[in-house]
Amino acid sequence: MILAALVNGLALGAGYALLAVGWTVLLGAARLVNFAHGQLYMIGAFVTWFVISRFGLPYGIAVPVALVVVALLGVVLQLLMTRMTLDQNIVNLMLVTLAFGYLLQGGAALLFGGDPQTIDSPLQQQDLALGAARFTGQDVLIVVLALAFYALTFVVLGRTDLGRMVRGVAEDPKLAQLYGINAARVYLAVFVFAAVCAALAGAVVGPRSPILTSMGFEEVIITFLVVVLAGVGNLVGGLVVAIGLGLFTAFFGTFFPPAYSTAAAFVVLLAVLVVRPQGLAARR
Amino acid sequence: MTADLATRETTGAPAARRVPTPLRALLWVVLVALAYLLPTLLGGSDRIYTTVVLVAIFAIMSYGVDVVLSYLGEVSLGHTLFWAAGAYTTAILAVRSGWSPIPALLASVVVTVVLALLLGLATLRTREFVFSLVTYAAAIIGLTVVQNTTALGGSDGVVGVPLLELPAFGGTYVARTNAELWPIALVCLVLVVLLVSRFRRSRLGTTALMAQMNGELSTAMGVDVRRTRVLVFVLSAPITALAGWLYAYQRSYVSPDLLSPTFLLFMLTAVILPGRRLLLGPLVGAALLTSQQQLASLGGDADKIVLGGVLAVVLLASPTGLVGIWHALVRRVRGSRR
Amino acid sequence: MSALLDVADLRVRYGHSLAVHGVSLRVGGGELVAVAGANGAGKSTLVDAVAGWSRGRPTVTGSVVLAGRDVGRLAAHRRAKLGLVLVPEGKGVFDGMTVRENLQVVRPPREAAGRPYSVDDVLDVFPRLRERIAAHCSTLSGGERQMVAIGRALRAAPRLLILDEPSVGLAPRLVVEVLTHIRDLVDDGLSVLLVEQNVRAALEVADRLHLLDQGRIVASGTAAQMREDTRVAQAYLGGLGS
Repeated sequence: MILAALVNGLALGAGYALLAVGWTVLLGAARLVNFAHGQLYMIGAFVTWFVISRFGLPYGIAVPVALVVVALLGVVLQLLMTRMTLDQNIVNLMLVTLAFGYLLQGGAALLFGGDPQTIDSPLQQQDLALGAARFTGQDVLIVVLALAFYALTFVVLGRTDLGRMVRGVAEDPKLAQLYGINAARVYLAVFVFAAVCAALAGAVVGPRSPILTSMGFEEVIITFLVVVLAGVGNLVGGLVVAIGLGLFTAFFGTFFPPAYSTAAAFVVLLAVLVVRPQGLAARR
Repeated sequence: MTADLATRETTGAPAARRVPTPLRALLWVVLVALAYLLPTLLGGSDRIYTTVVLVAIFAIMSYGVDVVLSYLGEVSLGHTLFWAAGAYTTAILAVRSGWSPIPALLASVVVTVVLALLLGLATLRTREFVFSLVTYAAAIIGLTVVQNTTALGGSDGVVGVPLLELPAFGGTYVARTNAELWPIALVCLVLVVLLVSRFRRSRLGTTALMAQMNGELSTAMGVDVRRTRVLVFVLSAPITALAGWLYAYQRSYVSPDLLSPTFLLFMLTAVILPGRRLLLGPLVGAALLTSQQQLASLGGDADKIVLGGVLAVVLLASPTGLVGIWHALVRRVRGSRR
Repeated sequence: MSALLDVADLRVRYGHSLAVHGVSLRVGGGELVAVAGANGAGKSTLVDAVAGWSRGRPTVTGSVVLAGRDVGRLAAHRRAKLGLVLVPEGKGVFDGMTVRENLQVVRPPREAAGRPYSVDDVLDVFPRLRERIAAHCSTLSGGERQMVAIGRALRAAPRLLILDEPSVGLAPRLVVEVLTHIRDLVDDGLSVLLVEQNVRAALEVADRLHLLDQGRIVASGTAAQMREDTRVAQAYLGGLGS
């Protein structure tokens, strides 16, 4: 049972990590708290389902289609918010993303209906076992993708010009202008990246359980738990906390009613905020 | 008419000075009397009474958020928690323990103050958006917890809340219909508006505004910004809880949907749509939104799009709300006349 | 001869207070023009407005023409791409990055406006940075950070380099070092607009100098003329100078 919870927790945590990686960069660079993040996750899952069930295309094609759709959606949303982002009007940014999330939820309900759906992924049928622990090919995919995305983000941020621009804008957007950096364009790139990560999380985690257009709110909370516990903008910390949160959820669910697992994690967060407001992994 | 008075409030001090105080008091009395007669003037149908009662309840609910958003400049996304706490405390005490309305209200206030203190103190040392995130998480997780806790009625909620009975001269006043609930709802609304108006002029209110305008400066002037934030937050919670108390009696049942983002979006939109920092703003906003939902509903999901769309469009096009648009129009008209 | 930079009737307003009252000045090719004046004279506000940059939200009117092109309405990053490059007063580097990263993050514009400097070229100008190339800028001394700031500006292939108080907070020996470097760059053909509180030091290196007081130019002339000017001598060279 311990091993099963461990394997399940790892897959859960990898899903959380994938969900949170974009937000970590976004919050670090643009100080933008995107409350529509969970709805982008939901849209990622539903577009994947829609492409498979309506057009009969395989999962492997449906996922990239979903990513493109959500990327375009991300472009539109960020272009609408460009001014607010440049002004760093945090209050209005939070409010407007909240409104976007609600709009997306209403729109998705009209478009996709209110019934639970299942994403048909061939990997979900592939049963694997590690000793007593059983898992699916889909779980492996989630873990692999999460690790790949963290590695990619780490390299891009640390080693490329794009990454340096993002870090520059994160440190001082005004100074970045003098370096010839167009902050608006950096914000756009980061926002779309975060949206695509959320959509990918939705498309690969979605097949594990039925999907509903009303989901997305808990996903924002989980993302937020990961980002704040790790310390804003801390990439490696985010990965560790996400996996930790996945394991916590899996083990909690083994011994207590699983419905309370997020609540329990939240109580932990409140305690952490009182003791270390800057997050667990942050230096000082 | 109400909107007109609301805009006059924004210009604030000069308007207040021009009209002498006794006259202003009289104006308010006339306004309240007119409000009381409004449903009768609109035909007095059951639907109208339901709408005006809901407007009053939702306006009170929104005033809680207004105090935090307009004066403190912080985004509380946890007020649905206080709204639900007020309604649930009332419903559970009334249904299971047979408490009468006034003690139930007092209990609701105590419960919400404790909740607000917990959230406020936990986020005491955090940066601005963490406060919003924590309050949001509290509300969303509250929803899951309530849905899954049988002691709180689970996903069915608590049904069979008795009628609202208040002690009155020579017996009791029982609100059997929305028409009979209307005077009580109106009295609550007037009291809340008076409280908010008092708050705006109070030391705490001006301190909050100062902390919002320039946190560093007010810190330098000896204002404890963190303490102000917690105090205002704790003050705002029972206002929303009062609305929850009324709503439990109006609807005669409570269910987890009280914690849904719908009410959250409603509160925020009601404050932002007319324009922040207007005394009657949340009332006007609640009236507009409730009228749409009650009298011109497009169906659940479409109403969501309307609500989310209104909030997004206002924030993107005119963050100062309808008042901002009005001022821009006035400026343009005056400009073209010159 | 048309000047490389032509600023005419520049006014900068913060809310209701006017910080710069209609300033006009020109910088020719290969010329070092200094703007001097006391603290609060509006020097930084002036050059920030020329670069289209500010940490506040001023209202700017007047025209800024760079090599015949009106750039007065462009955002700071667009002006930087056209070769109008500002090194601001105070924090001019990304502290969270190494020296190399600070230099690398600047991409010379595709149609290079001025002379393009590679990272190596910058290190030739400031050899002292070579040994600190991998250090985080937060660990550098004031003089070294100033060199990184100027170096990253050179990487942007400037036609006109604006330096706002590059010597502030530096030891006198370093002031001379930094200003000498700047003069060398000008002798290589770069045009520089230099803001300097230290009038004596500015006169050492500048071709021409404008004196700014309360947002207005109160005296202008070649370095030689200004050295002779009794007002300048009285106000700035008497005891205040260095």
